[in-house]
Amino acid sequence: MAPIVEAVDLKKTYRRRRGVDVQALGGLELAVGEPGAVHGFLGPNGSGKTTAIRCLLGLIRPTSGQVRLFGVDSTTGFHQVAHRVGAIVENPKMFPNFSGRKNLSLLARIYKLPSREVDRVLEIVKLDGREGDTFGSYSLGMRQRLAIAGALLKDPELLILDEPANGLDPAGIAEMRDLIRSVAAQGTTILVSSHQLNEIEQVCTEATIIFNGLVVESGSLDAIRARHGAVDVIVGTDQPERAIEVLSAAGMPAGHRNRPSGGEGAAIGLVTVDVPAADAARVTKVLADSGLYLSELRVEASTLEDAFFRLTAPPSPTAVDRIGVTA
Amino acid sequence: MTALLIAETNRLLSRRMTRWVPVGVLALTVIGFTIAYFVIRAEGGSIDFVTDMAFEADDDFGPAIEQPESQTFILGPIGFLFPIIAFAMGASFFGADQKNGVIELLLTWEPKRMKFLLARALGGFAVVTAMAVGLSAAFIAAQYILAGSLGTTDGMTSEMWGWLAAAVLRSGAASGVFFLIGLGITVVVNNSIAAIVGFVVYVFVIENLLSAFVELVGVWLPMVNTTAFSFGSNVAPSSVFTDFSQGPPPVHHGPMTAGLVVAAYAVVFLAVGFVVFKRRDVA
Repeated sequence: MAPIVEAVDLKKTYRRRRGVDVQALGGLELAVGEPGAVHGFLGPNGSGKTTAIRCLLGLIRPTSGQVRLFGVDSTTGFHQVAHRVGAIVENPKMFPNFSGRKNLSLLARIYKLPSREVDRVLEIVKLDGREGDTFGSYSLGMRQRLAIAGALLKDPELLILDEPANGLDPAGIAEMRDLIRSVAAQGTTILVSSHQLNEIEQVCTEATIIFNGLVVESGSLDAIRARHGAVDVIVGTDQPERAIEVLSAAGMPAGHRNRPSGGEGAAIGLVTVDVPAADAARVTKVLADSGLYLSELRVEASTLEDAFFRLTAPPSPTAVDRIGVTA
Repeated sequence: MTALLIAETNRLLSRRMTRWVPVGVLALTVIGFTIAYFVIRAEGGSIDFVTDMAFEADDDFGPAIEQPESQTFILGPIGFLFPIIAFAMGASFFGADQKNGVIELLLTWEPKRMKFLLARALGGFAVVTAMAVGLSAAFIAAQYILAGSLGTTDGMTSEMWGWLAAAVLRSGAASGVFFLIGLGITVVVNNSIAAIVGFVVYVFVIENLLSAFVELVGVWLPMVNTTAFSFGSNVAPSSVFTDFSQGPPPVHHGPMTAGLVVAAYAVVFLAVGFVVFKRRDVA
């Protein structure tokens, strides 16, 4: 069975005026196969996420490579699967002077959908009650929700969401998370691009991380974390600068770790040591041998964010610098 | 296609510009004719509806009526202003959606770009034609009422009413065609403001210069042919080089040919628009 979403050696080069070509995608490989999966599509700004999504939706032509939805080449045949795909690309886009309901009704009319479908999606995104207001008067969160309502109107098998949590407040982000979960629970496959990694971590089961138009990692979140998220040892000491020197000299890259301001034990400096958890005992020994005694030691499992930064951070001169940046 | 056509027609009808243009034109009509009423009454003048109308009757309509200087008073806006408004509506219908990104959304619903643009063109043509016909009729009705109050409507035969109705329908269709031209050009240049400004400059400057100095080209220009088609008049060369000493120059082509010329412009611009839109990345 063909993957629901598939990109093979997908390349896209934008030809700018003044003859400067910009390569947005340099041979992207992407596969989303499981119905009902929530697949995170991660990458820093400018890494090519939106370009890839536009290629998937047939909005832009790839320079080379193939892109398929439900096994259909979407560059030439997206119209065959358009009814199975709901999408939001970048910012929510609707007619600003039309009400929320009018916007949805005009979309529904294209597919001859009954007006009860509009009511259904308004209820799903919790906009019933504000559907008479113009789109232009909506907050960003409401616009996002209306755009999702528009994407859900087709009752799609695949939902593509490009940065759905962009600009949302914490409550809006939580609502978006719940919405994604509830839609996925009904069997809809969701491809969600974002750089809000903690959000992705909470809703996705698998992810693809891209950087400079290329996939740098793909798979289940657990597998990505296991492969790229080193387990850090965190130590607390009243002489953090000296501890970093001693540990670095002993071949254990270390850097400062910020402590939440005003938190308990603010006088104690935290140091992150980039070693496996099994080396925690060696850390204590090296520090103790140098007359540095610990007030705190813990092993911190890495997050998707750690893996992301490891995979997408530009090369730095030393490991200590990198840890210092990410800590 | 029908559903898409209805959706696009609804979209155009729901736009602010589509609502405000008729309101604005009607308001200006009422204000203009009210002022005219008081000015004419104060000066003790009168209006002859038949004579003051812009009859540029051709040979199909019996003997041509003498053309008074005031001929553009009544039909001028219909033949000239409405096409410009229609062009702006076509340009902004595409340009605004392109600017706010709605085109992207719509293409995820109807990815066949030819079909999408065709529905937009047909829906727009129908709406703009109907609007132009309605507003032209209102404009003429205002003139008729004014003449009835401060002059005469005598001499208005059923044949003349027929001619007038045909002129209104033709000018409405011409406006619809200019909607298509505006749409096609905006798709190509990808900037509605540039398209509208360029068109206004063309209408008021470039076409006049071409007509004045390039005799052979002048008879094929869009605004010349639009006016001829709308009012059922003939197109004849008229440049600074035309020799009028031997009488009026021979007719180059009639109003129906003029209509076809204008339609050809729309077809060409739309066809180029289709090709460009089909190939262009939408982002």
